Amino acid sequence: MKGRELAFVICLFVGVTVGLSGYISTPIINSISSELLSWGVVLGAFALTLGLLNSIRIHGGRIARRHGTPGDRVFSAVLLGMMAIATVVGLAKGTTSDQYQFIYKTFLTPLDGTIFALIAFFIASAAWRAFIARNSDAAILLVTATIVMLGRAPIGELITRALPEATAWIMDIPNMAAQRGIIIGAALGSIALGLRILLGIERSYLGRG
Amino acid sequence: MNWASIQRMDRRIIYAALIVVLSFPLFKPVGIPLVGAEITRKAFDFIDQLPQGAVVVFSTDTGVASQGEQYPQASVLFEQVTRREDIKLILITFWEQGTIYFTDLQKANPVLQTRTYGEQWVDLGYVPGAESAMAAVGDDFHKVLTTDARGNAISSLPLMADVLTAKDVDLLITISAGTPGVPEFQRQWNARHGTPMVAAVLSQFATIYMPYVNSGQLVGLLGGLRAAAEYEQYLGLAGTAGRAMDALSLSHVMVILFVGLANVAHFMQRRKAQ
Repeated sequence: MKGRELAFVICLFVGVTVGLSGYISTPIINSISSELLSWGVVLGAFALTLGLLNSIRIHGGRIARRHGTPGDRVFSAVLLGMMAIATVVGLAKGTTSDQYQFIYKTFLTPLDGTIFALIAFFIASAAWRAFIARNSDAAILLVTATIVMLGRAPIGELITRALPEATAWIMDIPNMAAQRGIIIGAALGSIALGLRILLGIERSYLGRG
Repeated sequence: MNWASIQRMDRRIIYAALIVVLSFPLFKPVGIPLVGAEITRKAFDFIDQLPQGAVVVFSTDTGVASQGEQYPQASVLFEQVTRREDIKLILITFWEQGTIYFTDLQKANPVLQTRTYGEQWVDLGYVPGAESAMAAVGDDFHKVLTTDARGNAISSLPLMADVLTAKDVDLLITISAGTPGVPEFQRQWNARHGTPMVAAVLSQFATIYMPYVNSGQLVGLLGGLRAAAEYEQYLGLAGTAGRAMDALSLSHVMVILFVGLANVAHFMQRRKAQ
């Protein structure tokens, strides 16, 4: 049996067993399903290690072979250096130690927080450019967004009680209907994709060849 | 008035205005009153009415990027569950950065130091493997997790003796910023084991998860920083979320004013062209 066929058989066995355990409760199926799910945790841990090794390979290679701009190589060196420091400190002192927490608090938290906070500025700028009532659809979007923005902020209640009430109606009726449609549609899509994988119609996860 | 130049306004002016509007109330609070939302109140009431000796799993499935919005949420929920000494608390995370929240929460609110580890609370740490890990832990805590975050054998912890599957959990609280998060827990814990769930999510995801509250799959939902501020009111706290509400209000008003100005400029230009 070739590698791709073997991978497909494993996928079929795992998919059918774990899927069945959701509908049929027998000790043997439950036991095998539980075992397979536990392996998922081990695979997850392996994936982290694989990600670490892959980062070292890509960024180490970029520095060694002088690929990319000098700036790219500096970023790669910073990434590998920080990775090494965090790994050494984490292994030596533990992840709850003050030293490890210092790395998180001083480097990662401000960097991640800054990137995330930039969304506010992009949203403000995008609203300025895009929220123009050029046609009736855009006008509906503009009015709805204005009501919800004011209704969701405490100042909306200060202006008039009607704003949070209108916001609640928009969220509970049109938004809820649309969200339910999206959720049910996505669920049906997931079932269809799962069946395609189990029946061997969809094999892109096996890679090329 | 030159409406064309207004339409071409440098976006850095908007950025500068936003910085001023966001910063001002942090230094000088305006104190705009806040009315609580029903979905937040549902979460508060459910936790408040948990039976004596209830087992609560507190899962911080989030990262440091969303700390600004989600740490206040985690903080108020942690405060509420730890106010009751009879509640048995299990800390766990399916995100590698989730453990940082445990450390911060315990530093800010060291109440757990006065409780017996292993009997009143346990820290199971980070579990890799995303949704399959959630499913595996929900099916059998003891099979997947042989040790806790401190290296103790799970079987040696008295609290865990009665907690075998997600069925034995009276409430799951997830502080969720993405995947794996609310839908994954709903599929693997709520649908399969009937575990009641309260979720705290980023404000932009609140609309997505509102149908889960209406269908009863979530018993309550904290959407964004506003929900944390509402919760602070319920708990009688003066926290960071409440202080940030003025900034939220003023920034929303500022964006609406700019959008209004952009629309006026657009229509004046169009009229001029006609």
